[in-house]
Amino acid sequence: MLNFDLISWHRAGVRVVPDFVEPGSSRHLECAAALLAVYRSALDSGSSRSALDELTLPLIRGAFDPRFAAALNRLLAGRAKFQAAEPGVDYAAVRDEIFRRSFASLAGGETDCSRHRARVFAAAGGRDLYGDLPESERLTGIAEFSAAELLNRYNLALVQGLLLRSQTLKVTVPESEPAELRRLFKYLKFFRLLAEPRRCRDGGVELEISGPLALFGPTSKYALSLAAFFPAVVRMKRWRLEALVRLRRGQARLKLDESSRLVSHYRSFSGYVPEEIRMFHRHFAATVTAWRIVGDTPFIDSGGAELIFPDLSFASTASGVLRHLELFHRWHRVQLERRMELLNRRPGLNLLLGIDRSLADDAGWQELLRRFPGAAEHCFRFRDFPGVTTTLRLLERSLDFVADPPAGK
Amino acid sequence: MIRLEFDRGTLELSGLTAAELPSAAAPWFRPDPRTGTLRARGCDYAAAVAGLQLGRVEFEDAVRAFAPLPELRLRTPVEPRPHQQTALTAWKAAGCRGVAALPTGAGKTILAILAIAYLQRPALILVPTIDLLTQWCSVLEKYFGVRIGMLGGGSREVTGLTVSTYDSARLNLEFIGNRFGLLIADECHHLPGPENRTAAAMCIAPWRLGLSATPELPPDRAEVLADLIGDTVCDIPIDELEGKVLSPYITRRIYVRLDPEEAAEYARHRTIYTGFLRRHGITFRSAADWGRFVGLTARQPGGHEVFQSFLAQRRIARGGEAKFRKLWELITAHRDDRIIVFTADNATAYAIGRRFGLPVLTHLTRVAERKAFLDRFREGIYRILVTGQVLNEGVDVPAAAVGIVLSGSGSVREHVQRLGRILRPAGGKTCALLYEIVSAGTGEQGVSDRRRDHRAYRRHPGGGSRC
Repeated sequence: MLNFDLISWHRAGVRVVPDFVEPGSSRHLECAAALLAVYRSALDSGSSRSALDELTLPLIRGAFDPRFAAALNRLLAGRAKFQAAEPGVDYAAVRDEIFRRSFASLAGGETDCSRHRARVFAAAGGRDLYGDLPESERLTGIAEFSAAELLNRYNLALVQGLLLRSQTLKVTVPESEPAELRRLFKYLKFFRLLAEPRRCRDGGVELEISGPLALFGPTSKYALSLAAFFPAVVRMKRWRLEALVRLRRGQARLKLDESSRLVSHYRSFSGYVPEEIRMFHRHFAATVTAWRIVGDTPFIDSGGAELIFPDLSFASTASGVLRHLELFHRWHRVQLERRMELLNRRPGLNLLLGIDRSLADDAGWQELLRRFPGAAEHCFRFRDFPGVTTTLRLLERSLDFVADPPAGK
Repeated sequence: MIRLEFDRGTLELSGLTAAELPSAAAPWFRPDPRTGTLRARGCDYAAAVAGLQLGRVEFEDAVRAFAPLPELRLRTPVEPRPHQQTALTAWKAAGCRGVAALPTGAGKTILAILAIAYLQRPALILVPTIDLLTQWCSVLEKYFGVRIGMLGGGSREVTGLTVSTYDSARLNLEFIGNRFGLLIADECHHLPGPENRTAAAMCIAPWRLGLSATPELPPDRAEVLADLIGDTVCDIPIDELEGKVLSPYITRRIYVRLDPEEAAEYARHRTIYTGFLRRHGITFRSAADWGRFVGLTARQPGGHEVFQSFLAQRRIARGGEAKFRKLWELITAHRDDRIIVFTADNATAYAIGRRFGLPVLTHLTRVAERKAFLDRFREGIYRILVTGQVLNEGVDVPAAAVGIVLSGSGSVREHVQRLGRILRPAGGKTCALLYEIVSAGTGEQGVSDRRRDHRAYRRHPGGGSRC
């Protein structure tokens, strides 16, 4: 991400506006291409970090917009890989030898600095005493961006840099895209953020995003998470974002939406499906005919502020009735109790729970049942991953206790 | 069922609405619309529980993940010195919460050890640097004979006694903030910073001890420290212990003149820099002026050159050739003493190391080598250490008898801490000496005057000896 000093922005009344560059702009593309060329050539010649700095400095200073060029350089440097100049040399041992000679020279009463140096450094063989400092490291890898990709990263980084100076984020997404919303919530969980969802008049969902401690006053603790979360918002087809950004003088509102044409580099998060889930899908399809797993799992409105995103949804082959299953593993204790409390209050809710035994051993399970008796029939326990037979049994039983909407609704 | 839980550095109360909350607990909780529960800061755990109990709320407390450690005993009894006993008594009287302000070398670590032994609860010690992290681990292991957890410097192990850097605590306490009963903040003047304060806020430890030689803070930060740790329970100034617990000391300011070529270069850059300041009415009397200077030089045409001139004149004043010659003179004059050379920046520290063949300790020094440097310095194998900022605080090098400040900032705290490095008593040390080499006729003179504005220096104006 970029330091605030490298972010180009301007104020428009109460708003802060990032100075996005046009990804097709020829002079911006030229500048990006020139820097990329320098990095590639430095990689080919195995240049040191300080040599790379010397190569990029004239480009940055001579650029039509030095701050823009410096920001691109920062983005490239942040993704570059370096390693020690002479990996085989034990610099610590070389230094120790030099230091021992140095202190022996001083203890021997040497007062002439030139003689002292000659005596001490004879053992170094011309090697830099601190040749393993970062400035001497060699470039061994760079990000393989095209110039246009680098400009897209730059535009995204401008917003992320501003978000590093914010405390909460307001994101609005249309309700018509439950799969996208589900992915967004996965990212929220991943970055350990909390969201307060509110219904908008236009049918969308507005999420006010921050962290637990943000409730007690300004904290910059979650700024990095908010900035890292932002590319997940940009992945959605339609979105609106609002944040209050602290500037050097006062604060200003950042407002963006999909018309800003930002490009997210987040790609694979939702594409990853754990192997055990794949196996469950295969086994279920091969052995069960009365139910099938459906691809699009909607979110469930719990009636409170929380939206629930089940892990699997099933449709009855005969009636088309849907059932949703949420799985709880060992790290979901607080969420499990919250969910059981909800089902205890609303026993007709279309939600089934699969609970890892490591989360609730027999004694723990009895205690949960004692506290939330109304939730009992919604649940089954499993070891590591739910079995098809157990899941099927609960699906069949659920036809008796889940309050399905009347047919045709 | 009403239940109180630890959630990511906060306390989450479910099964009770804000309206049902008793007044004694109300100040600590806020309704959280994101989760439909009530929430409090982790650090308010003791007060929140007391409030609920006072209000006769029956609830399940699932917050704490620690229990008393009766096996946590000192291997050998520690007899506190009178000032340590005074501090311990004051801290206990304040409900085992508060800040003890003791000068460097007065045995703050021993005070912490006495506090840990008294409470026998899992304790987390926060420190600002990796060097202090390893030092605290060694000392705790020595006194308690148990495995010490470490968070920072590549380690991630949590035990009943864990030492963490402030940085690592900020990242980890949302997960483990409920595992400690006692929180000790070493060099606690770092705690109220906007980032560090969240670490202390996410920890539920009901008992808290802050340690610092220089706890003076601006009012807003002092308020944060009092909120998170407690009030200052004892304040013992440096001169009360000098000659008793601390080594007697002399401070000497030595002026050197820039070489003619450097002086001309300095004057050229200084004129550009100060001219810009005058044109824009920047005086550096307010904290905002630095930000304004940086902002203006970033935006204005020619601003980049002004900023380069600012850096150049500062670099010349801080590291002129005459300073290096004087440094060599002092090094050879004190060939039998253990010396720490302090610089304002790492580049100068490495320049000294490369020129004279000396060990340089900065944040770039790897953990194993920095430990080796300190061990060899303590053993006398290395007689000189050169450092930028990392030895400013806390690190215990009692053998150091001479400090040479080649350059530094105008910070009183930094200068007092640097003096503190050489004041620990040690066998054979009769008097500690702190030299300050200043480039005459440069902006450094004013900087030097600013950093000496402290009781520790006022008692020894420019060379007065108590040795």
